[in-house]
Amino acid sequence: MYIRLAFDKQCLESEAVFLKLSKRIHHNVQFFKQQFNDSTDLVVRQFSISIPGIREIAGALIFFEGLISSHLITNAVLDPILHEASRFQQPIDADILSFLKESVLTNAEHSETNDANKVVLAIMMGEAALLVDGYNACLTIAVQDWEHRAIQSPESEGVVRGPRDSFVEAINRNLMLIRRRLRDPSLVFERIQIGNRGQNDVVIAYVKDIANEELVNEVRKRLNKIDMDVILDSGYVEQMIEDDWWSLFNTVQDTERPDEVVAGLVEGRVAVLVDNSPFALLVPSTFNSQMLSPEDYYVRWPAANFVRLIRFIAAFVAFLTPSLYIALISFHPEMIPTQLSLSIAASREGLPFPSIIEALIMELSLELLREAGIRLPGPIGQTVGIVGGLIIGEAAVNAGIVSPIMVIVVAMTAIAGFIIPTYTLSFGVRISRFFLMFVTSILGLYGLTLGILVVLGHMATLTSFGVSYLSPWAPLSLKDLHDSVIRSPWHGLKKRPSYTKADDPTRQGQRMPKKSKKKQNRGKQKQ
Amino acid sequence: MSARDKLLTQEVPVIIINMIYGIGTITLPSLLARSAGPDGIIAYLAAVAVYIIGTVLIILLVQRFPNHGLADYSPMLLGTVPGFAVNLLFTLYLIFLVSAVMRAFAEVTKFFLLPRTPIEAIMLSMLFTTSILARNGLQPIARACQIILYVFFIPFLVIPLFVSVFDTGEFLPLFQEKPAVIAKAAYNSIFSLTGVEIMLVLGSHSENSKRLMRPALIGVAIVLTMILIAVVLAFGSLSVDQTAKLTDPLFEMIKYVPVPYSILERIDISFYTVWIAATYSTLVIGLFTASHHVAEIFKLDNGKGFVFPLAAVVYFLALIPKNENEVLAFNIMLGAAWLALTFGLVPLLLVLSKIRNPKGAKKQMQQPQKKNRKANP
Repeated sequence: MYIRLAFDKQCLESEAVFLKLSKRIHHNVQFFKQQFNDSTDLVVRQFSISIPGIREIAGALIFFEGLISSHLITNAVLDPILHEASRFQQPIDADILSFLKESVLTNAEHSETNDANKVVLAIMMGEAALLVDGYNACLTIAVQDWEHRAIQSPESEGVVRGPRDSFVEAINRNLMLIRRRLRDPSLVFERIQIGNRGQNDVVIAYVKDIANEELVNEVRKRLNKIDMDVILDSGYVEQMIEDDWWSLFNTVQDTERPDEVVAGLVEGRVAVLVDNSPFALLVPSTFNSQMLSPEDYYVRWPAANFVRLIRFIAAFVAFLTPSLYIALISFHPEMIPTQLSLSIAASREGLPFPSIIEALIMELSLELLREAGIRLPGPIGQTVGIVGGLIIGEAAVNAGIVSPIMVIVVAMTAIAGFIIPTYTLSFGVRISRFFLMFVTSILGLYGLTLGILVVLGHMATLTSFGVSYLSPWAPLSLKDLHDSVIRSPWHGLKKRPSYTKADDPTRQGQRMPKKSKKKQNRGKQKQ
Repeated sequence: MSARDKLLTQEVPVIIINMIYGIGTITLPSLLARSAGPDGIIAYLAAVAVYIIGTVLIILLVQRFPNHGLADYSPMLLGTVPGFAVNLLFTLYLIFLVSAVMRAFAEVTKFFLLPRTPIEAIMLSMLFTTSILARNGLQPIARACQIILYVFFIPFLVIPLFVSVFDTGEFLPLFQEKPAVIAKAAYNSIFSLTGVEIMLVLGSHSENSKRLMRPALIGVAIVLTMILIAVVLAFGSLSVDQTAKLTDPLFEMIKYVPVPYSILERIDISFYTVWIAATYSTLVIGLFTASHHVAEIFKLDNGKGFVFPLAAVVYFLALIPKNENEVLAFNIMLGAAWLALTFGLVPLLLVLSKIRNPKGAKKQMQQPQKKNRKANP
């Protein structure tokens, strides 16, 4: 149903077109060559299956050069066909194709079809198509193998305590990373192809007896609506399925950590993995869930709570400090304690710019440094940070462009911004920070408050797959508060978060026969 | 009714608290002190008693017609033309209420934060900001109000600081004034408490609009207690005489106690930001209710389109009073309007709903509800 052949316009227009294979092998070979426009990486290996005493039957193997393992093709397909097939001792009208399938081929996975479109798709996905003369059916043999990056430690979501593996570009490896952590038969992977030209694999992952069925259906529905050429990264999918694509804040969480995905799955959330992307998506996702790091569940609860408090404070600092500075300096200097006020006044003596310009200069140069640090290769990137932060800051103060207190403000903002554990969320905070600075420069503390209220109103309007973005604080859910700013010890986290409306709300203390595997998956997997 | 316009039962008290708690609270202590002296507390309690009775009446009416707003059943009970007139008056009342809050807020903000900014700029920025959220629907409003509600409790954290300056002698002797004076003070202070009447419109959007009494009374009780604490603190720590002289005793009194370990001076200014949030929520709910009521009069799905026009009307109405005395007189008139609404119209509708073909009316009203039930099991 999802299969659309973009190469053939007729097929694209009517999905139901069922193109039957021909009985003549050279027709079929011609058809596939034409389908792939004689692309140079298409390999058509023609051979003949010799059956002693009867006759020789023409066969062909069609695949793409780089997508298959030549080792497998040789050992599991060609070698058995060319040598073992001679054992075929049956009457001439017997079914050679099913004989090949059942007793000759030695690889694990293959299937038979007579739908030409399916075969084309299979070839593009790295399977080899085996055609035999006289049969209007075809065997597709799974021999995919291509180069991929080794599993490395996560780059954007590092932890001190906890597993260090992260997703890679190959989706099968990513599924393996999830399956290995959750040995539950009800963990389901649903694979569909999205992208009219790309035909990229997208996998919906959920635990069948935990995840709410409506949620899974909603995810399916939104994925099926995607009508794009090619899906290069999960970011494409994220932006197509999110509730509000005008918003500054993301309502779909992305993570490169398999442990976080598994934790999400057992909370009743649904994960979406995209081939060629090391980032998985988790829905629904709230502001709260994006402020939590998987490490919070691995360390003991006092440490976790301390870090969480710091993190939430840091989010406010990153959000508010520059505009608070502008409000205090330009509009309400009487709010600053007298001593400090005097020294600030002394340090701002002779500064040519109002505080908003000062703040904009420093904040913008900070963003410049940050982007430069990301683009440059590792060691140089760090150098840019040091050079920018220390030297330019110092020089700017000495040159009389900004005041020393502004440098402190900017440094605090930057450091606090880095504490936000989700990269995409920190974008929202960074951009809305500039909005706050502008309104503050016009209306002072009153403007700042209005700006905060606008952002709050916007966040209150957001939903992620029907779940309030501000959950569990609004609407207040007392049950979920034990895993928000404060996390209760593991012994208190007996229920899954209620915002996922999980079918099975209990995750601890329900030792049911046979079905007890899925409890306590966060942090207690070592058992 | 879309999902965005639904109200959870737990959000009913939140909406009520946010609607009532606002700029009126700031001026209430001085109003009470001026008009009744130490007996201001008695006057306030009398107002509270009246207010709770009014709340019960309003909620009884709402519960009588679950799934229907005032705009739906008033023409049915009163006849088309009087019903339309009543709805028009109620809309006008809401708009006047919002503009009174807007004007009072702009005055205090100008006085406190932005002495050189014209009042028009303050009002326009506020109305624009509130209109944005008011357009988004009831559910987002309720969520924003929930967050703002947490902020309301921050000023109450400083209560322990007042122990040293609190003087219980200020409240004595009680009952020095004549009952008429106390009644007048209570009458004057009603305006600061208005707000629960929004349930006439929003009640039908509640998850369980047949059982609104409990959540509504909880909301009213919480907010009236909060205001009571504020009044008592102002009287006790500032003295009644001084409270009477100030327009903003709630901010003034924080200056009289040293706040230990505070990074900022002039804590009163940072507390004022809480009242900006409080007024914001009042205005948002008021604007939404007014626009939604207009939409219900014309049997439209939502009142999104009415928010900005109504905000413009509010802006011009708020500019009418020339000075603070006129603002005060206007507010007291609004209090009278609230009394007329709650003890005139609401009981009338209640009685009419029992007299006028009670069984038939009930049946008619319940039918759509049954359909709803089938549609969303």
